[in-house]
Amino acid sequence: MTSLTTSRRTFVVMASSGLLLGLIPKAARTREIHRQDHPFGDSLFRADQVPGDELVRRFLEIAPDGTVTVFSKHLDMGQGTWSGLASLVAEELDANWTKVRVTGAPVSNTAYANHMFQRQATGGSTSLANSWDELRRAGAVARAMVLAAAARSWGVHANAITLKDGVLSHGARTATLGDFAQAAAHEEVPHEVALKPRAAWRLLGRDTPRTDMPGKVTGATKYGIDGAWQDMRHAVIARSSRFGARLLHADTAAAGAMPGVEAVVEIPSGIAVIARTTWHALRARDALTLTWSDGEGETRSDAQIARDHRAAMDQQPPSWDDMRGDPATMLARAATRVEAEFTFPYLAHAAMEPLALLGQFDGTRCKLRGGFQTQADNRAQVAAILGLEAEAVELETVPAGGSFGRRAGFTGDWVVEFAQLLKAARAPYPIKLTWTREDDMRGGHYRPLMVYAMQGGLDAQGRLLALDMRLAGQSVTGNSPYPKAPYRDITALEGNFHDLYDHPHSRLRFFHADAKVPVVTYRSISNNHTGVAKEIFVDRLARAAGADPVAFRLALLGAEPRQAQVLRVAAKAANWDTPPPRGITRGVAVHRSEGSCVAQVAELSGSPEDFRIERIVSAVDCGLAVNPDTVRAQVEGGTGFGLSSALYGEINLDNGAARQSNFDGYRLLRMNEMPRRIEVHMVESGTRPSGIGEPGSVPGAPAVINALERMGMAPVSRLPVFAST
Amino acid sequence: MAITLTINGTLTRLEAEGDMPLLWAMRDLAGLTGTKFGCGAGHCGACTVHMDGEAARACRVSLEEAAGRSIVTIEGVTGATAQKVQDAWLRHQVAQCGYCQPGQIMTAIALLEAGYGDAETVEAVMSGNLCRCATYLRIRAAVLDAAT
Ligand code: FES
Ligand code: FES
Repeated sequence: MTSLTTSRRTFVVMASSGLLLGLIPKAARTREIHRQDHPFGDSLFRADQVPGDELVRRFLEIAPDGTVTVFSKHLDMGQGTWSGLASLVAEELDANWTKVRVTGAPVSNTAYANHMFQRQATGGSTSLANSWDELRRAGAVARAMVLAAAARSWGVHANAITLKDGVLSHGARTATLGDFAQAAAHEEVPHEVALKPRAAWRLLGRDTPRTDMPGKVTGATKYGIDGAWQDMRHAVIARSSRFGARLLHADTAAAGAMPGVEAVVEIPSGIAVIARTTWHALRARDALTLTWSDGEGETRSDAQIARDHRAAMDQQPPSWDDMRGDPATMLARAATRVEAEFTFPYLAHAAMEPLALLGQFDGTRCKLRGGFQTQADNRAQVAAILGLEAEAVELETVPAGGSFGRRAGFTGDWVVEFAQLLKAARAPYPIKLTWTREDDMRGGHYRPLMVYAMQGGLDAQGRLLALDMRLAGQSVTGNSPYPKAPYRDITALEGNFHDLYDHPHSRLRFFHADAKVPVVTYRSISNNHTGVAKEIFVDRLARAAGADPVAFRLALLGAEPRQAQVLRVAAKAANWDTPPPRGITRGVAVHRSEGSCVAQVAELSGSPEDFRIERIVSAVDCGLAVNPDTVRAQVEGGTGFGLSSALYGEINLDNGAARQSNFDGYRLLRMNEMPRRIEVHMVESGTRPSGIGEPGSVPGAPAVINALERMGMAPVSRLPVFAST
Repeated sequence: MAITLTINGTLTRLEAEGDMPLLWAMRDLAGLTGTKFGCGAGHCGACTVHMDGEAARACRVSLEEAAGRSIVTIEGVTGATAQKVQDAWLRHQVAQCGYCQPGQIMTAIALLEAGYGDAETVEAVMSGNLCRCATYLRIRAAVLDAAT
């Protein structure tokens, strides 16, 4: 017989005694961090003003057995960040890669701030760019101190000791990093450390295996939903299916009497059932009789919301209006005009791991375990609800089974709701809350529904003369610390045609159009609609001009040399200049987002109704590829993700409630719908990395749609291409 | 009531109702969280286990149906095919978030053990398992690699 209990997981202890990390005296002060150039502009910061010992203390720990633990301030939700960050440390430390572990860092807006957002948060594909300097420097400082300790002990010069794969040697003498970790803490902290030249790299720039791969292949990886503490109980919540409805009456007697049920409590979002197992909680939830308010909150269909958004363009002042040249006059004068409207639907993130959180609140302290993406904000949100100081709230961040933006919302809705549950339950045991797939899919916090109206004018030579584009939708910055409209809302506008293509007469207007459907960030933020609309529309312009779609784009990319270069490389790799094989139709797209450029050529066989994507040829410029295999993986997976949204993804609303509730209604791309082959060609443009978790998810979908339209499919005006209604 | 079944080779007695899905019994009673909850409705394959050697979706099997049978989860799967499949998964660096992968791997092992390894069958069968990270090309490559 097996034992059926699992032991309480211990939280990360930063200053374990006997370890390098715990022994370095706390630095007196942390100096200011300076800005520097980067593809993101000036929004990333260099960490080289932070004292070396402080960096080491923040980011790594060397155990006596030589195991190196790297503390990641960012969340790994599949993008490979934990492994990538660890490779920066391990490279400079010359650690043995097989002895490197990664764990989530605790909460701190000072030590673990994302230098782009100035708060601890993962997003915008910024993790590696953020840590490029600070983690390599942390590794180099630790290396210098270990070598100094070895040199003192062996009575030789540090330069005479070699350190490779975690092993120090001098003549016949050898030791591991762990042997000198403790002594290293007493060595002087070097003021300057030289980072390795590229030629000396052993891990960076190579296909280094991911640290998290073995755990994910054996099932050992524990996600938020897998958390288990002693005496834990399981909870589910009954929420309104219609956005903004209020709970008027709850009859909980039957549910409370069900076997296995511990408690039924009311919280602001609905009724929580706490039980012995998730299944007992689910069964009791079915026995609840709840009455929700009618006529309050959202009552429209998604089609009505789309019509209202479209009407807002004509009836409302824009919240952002940017113009160059004289687009109105030039459009009137154009030899050829092209018009298009697009509706992008609400999308559910549908990460395979439904949201889940584990926590305990004893009245004075609270511990939470989950896949947190905005740790410091989450901690503050929880503290506010429980009436605690932020320091009394402890967060353990574990890998997430996907997020795609869902966990990054500014309001932290899912963490806030859990804190409300802990507060209402005041339970003497830990509680794990699990969202079912239905809860997740009908729970809102979607990619916003966006409506586009675009007009382009070509001159007699087929050159783009003028553009007028309008878009309307909800902003994901509602309740954010960012300023309210009117302002240039990058979460709605980044990656749009007006800004990314170089044409003389142009106007961009954005209309904040409201709905009571909660919306949040979604993989690639606005690029998942701005980029798709841009690339479909530019292809239509090229067709109207009778121009080659690659040449037409190149003529508009004079100010975007990196985009132009990836486009040329992808076109060449796909033999663009020779006609495709019989039965193959090509489509192309290019985009820049999160500081990286991706161009893709799609090759389709069959007919618009029954096609197969035979091949996608990609060219990627992400500055410097820290791990080329991870870059390839992100482009492959990102392409599938973007296609899933563009071909099938859609949340419809009936009377303000989501129609789709599980994967039978909300269709995801499957293996037999995946491109048969995805090639990825690297175009290196820099000496430091930019993002790749999101940029690979943008151009694939428009490249495929362009091929379908070139195959004869009616021009797309509403996404997804294969709408369920 | 008490239900007895073999879990990863060990005869196990679970105190639970017969209509409890095997998925929740594995996760919440047996502490075997490698079997993932993805949809609870048979759509995604994240909860795939082996029941008497065949792939089964644990969210659609009741404890009553599982009684007296042998259940193998990702934590306990062994043998030459399992080894080959897991090695191929490492070689191809398949996982991204990894959440769907226990189900993918358990499906692949059952498929290969049943004697199928041709590209067409692999694609047809593996298309039943969803991966939101869309690691499909690497899953397919790894299964075909393990099949040879
Ligand atoms: S959880 Fe069982 S098939 Fe999805
Ligand atoms: S690896 Fe993330 S769902 Fe498959």
